[in-house]
Amino acid sequence: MTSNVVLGVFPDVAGAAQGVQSLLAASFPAHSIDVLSGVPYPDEAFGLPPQQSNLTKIAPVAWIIGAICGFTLVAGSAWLSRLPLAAKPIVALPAAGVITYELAMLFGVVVTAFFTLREMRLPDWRKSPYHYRVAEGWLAVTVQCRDAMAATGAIAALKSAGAEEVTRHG
Amino acid sequence: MADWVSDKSPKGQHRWGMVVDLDRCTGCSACVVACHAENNLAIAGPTDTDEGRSFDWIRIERYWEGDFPDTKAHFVPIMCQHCEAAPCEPVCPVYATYHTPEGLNSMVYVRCIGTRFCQNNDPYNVRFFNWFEPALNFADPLPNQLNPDVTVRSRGVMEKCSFCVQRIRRAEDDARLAGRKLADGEFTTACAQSCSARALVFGDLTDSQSEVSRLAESARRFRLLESLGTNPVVYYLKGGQA
Amino acid sequence: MKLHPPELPADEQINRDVLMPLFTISWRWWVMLTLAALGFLLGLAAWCYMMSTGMWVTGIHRPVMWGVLIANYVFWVGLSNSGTLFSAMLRLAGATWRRPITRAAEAMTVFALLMAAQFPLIHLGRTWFFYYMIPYANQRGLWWNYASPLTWDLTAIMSYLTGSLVYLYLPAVPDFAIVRDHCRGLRRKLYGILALGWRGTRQQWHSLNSCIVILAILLLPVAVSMHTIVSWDFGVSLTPGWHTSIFGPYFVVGAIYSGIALVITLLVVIRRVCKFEKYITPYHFDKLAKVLLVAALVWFYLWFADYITAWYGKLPEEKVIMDIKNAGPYFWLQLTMMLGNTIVAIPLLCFRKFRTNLWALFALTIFINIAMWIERFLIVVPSLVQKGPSYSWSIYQATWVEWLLTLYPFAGFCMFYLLFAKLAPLIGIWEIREDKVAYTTKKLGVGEFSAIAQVE
Repeated sequence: MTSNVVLGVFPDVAGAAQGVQSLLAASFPAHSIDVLSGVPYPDEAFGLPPQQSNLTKIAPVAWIIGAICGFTLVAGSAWLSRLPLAAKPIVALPAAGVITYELAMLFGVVVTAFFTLREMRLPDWRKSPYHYRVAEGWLAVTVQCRDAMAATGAIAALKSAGAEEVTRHG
Repeated sequence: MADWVSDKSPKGQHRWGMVVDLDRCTGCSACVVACHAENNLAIAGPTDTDEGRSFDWIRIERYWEGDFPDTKAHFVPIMCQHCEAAPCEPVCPVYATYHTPEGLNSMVYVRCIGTRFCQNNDPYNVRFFNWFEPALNFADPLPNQLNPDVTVRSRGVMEKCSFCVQRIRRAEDDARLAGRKLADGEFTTACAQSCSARALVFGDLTDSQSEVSRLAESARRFRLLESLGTNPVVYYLKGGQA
Repeated sequence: MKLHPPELPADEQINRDVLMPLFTISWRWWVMLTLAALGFLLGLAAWCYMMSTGMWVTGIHRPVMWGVLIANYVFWVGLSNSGTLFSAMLRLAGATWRRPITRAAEAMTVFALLMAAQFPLIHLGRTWFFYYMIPYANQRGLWWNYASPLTWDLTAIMSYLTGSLVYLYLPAVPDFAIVRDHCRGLRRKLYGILALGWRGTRQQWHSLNSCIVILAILLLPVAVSMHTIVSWDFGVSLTPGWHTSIFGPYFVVGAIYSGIALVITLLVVIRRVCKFEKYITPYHFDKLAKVLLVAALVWFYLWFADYITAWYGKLPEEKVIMDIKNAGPYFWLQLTMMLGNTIVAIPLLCFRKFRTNLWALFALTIFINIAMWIERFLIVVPSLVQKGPSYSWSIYQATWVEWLLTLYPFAGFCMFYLLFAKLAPLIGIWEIREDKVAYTTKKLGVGEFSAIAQVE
């Protein structure tokens, strides 16, 4: 996966965008190009197709599952081990509602966080291509190449776009 | 309403209740002493009592009316009212207090974790918290006088009037073993037993012929803080001027 | 004077400035940590003493079964309520001035809640059986009573604590990566683990941003529900003075009020100690103080709505409680509370001069929080001292054990916060940098104005 990755570092967003453009011009497919940055930039800044995220779909589903689990826990357990309390029904809906709500929220939060990490492919303990200057506000353009030949082309494209430093991984 | 959302708790054979005739009460406090002896209540000294840490499952509240020398004393014995809609029950997170099928507001000591929420939500202040180790409450030779039928409560749990549940159980068991119905007046609580003025009457409210049922129908009857809707099963009787 | 958002320096400079507190430890920090740890240990010792001897070492007795300990609980839950709630609110509203504030506020929530969550356990008669409240299959034949507000508390605190931890951690991952890139050896390993291998790919940023929005949407109602549920510990009871439907919103607003006051207190200190003068400026304090003013006004409105309802109705049960607050033993406390929360705070906060004077704000916010603690006390205790038949009325006096346990959360909070300041940057680095990306200048006529590009 990380073999034949070429990484070029640019000091600013204009340079990085230039690098992406020259890679695209050298007919590297858009999905093989990525930009590492210290701040989130809109995808349009690099002329790349927008990223997708399924979190907005996952969260409501997780919420509903949490609500069902919460209600089952409250109502089911109360129903299975019935213990009468004065003037309170076995399954008191307002009280059950409170716990159902809290557990639905808890599920929503935990599941969303879990899937966020999955979408971000974290935790990632491999030595993936990276440049320390990204932490200082620089940008790194990475491209996944099919073979060594393509990698040479990518290096040339990034250098021509004005990359300060170009490295090859794998 | 479906069974699972409404309170269809099993109704027992009996519904225990009490009548307190305020016109008869002399304020002699024999009931308080009897309760202490029967239910292994810790004996609090003057300091602890002053600090609100005494144990009185039944207490005689004394109120004065008028200015000296034209004063009148009023006595009101107050114990757990065993409310049918007890506010103390639902607030307990661990079901340490719940309603028995026979209408007792019962306390399960081993379950109690001591949140003390029940006492806060108890409008009659008839719940008692165990501040001290039982060993502190019952120094030698006091352990010898403890009633073996009643648990000595450990530190950190709530306790309250149980309507002498140990006597109820024994009487019920005896009657069942003998194969007969439990008769009215066959047994009574320690406080009612010791009341020489017969101000306290205990019995089964489902039995319309029992003394407690007849007295509870009296025109003089009322219940404490009735407006709260707690529905106590302790009826107080009071007529005219004392 | 016109207040502008601060001009940010170059990125390397931001890294250096914000990471500085992580790499330097002054003797003052050690002194503060020692003091805080000492207070924390004293509190723990008091707790152990109370557990081993019994609840009689506190001042509580019949009918005052909840005292200072529960006031502490409500107070600290209130403080914790604000951080995440506030940060979520500002993020959803797209308020750009939130950026240097959110991290400090979110950390405040986590540590305040950590301390608050101990109080329901501290005040138990049998703390060692606290797990009876947790629903799991067991051989004791014992289940929780989901109808009790205390079990609602349990679930609400669990949800909010988990949510707040996630909400503090995930946005901090890119910052941990920055720290990782700035250090060597064991430290680099530790921050490498905390950063989870973050590289800042487009997908990572995209997912992180959507996640933050979703978490903000989910945590806002959780925050509101948590303090509402704490208010229901009182509200659903039959006790006069507690049994009122306004407690839900009143508690939430009170929580926001005291929480924002603490955020300001903390930021004044952080700004000074960590030398963040370039990043947290009077501009931010002005905004924060305006929110504080709104919270003060709403708090007073709700307090008055509750007060006048009880005062006009003059139900005998409620009147006795009013009387001891208005003229009786709690008069001075009530007066201090009103001074701190309303009479002093509201007029002062109306002036920009005051709002941008940091040490004046510091003093006021501390006063507000003292007043808010008193307010919690006045909610819990006076309703109990004259509860039920007048025969058992009695006054409440807290003991030294309870005062040590009041010190305990303060010290614990300070201790955790001091440690956290050495672990994570107290300002979200990537977040203030994002600001720099978004800000442009726009010419209008002959003037130049800052404008924000829509990059979010």
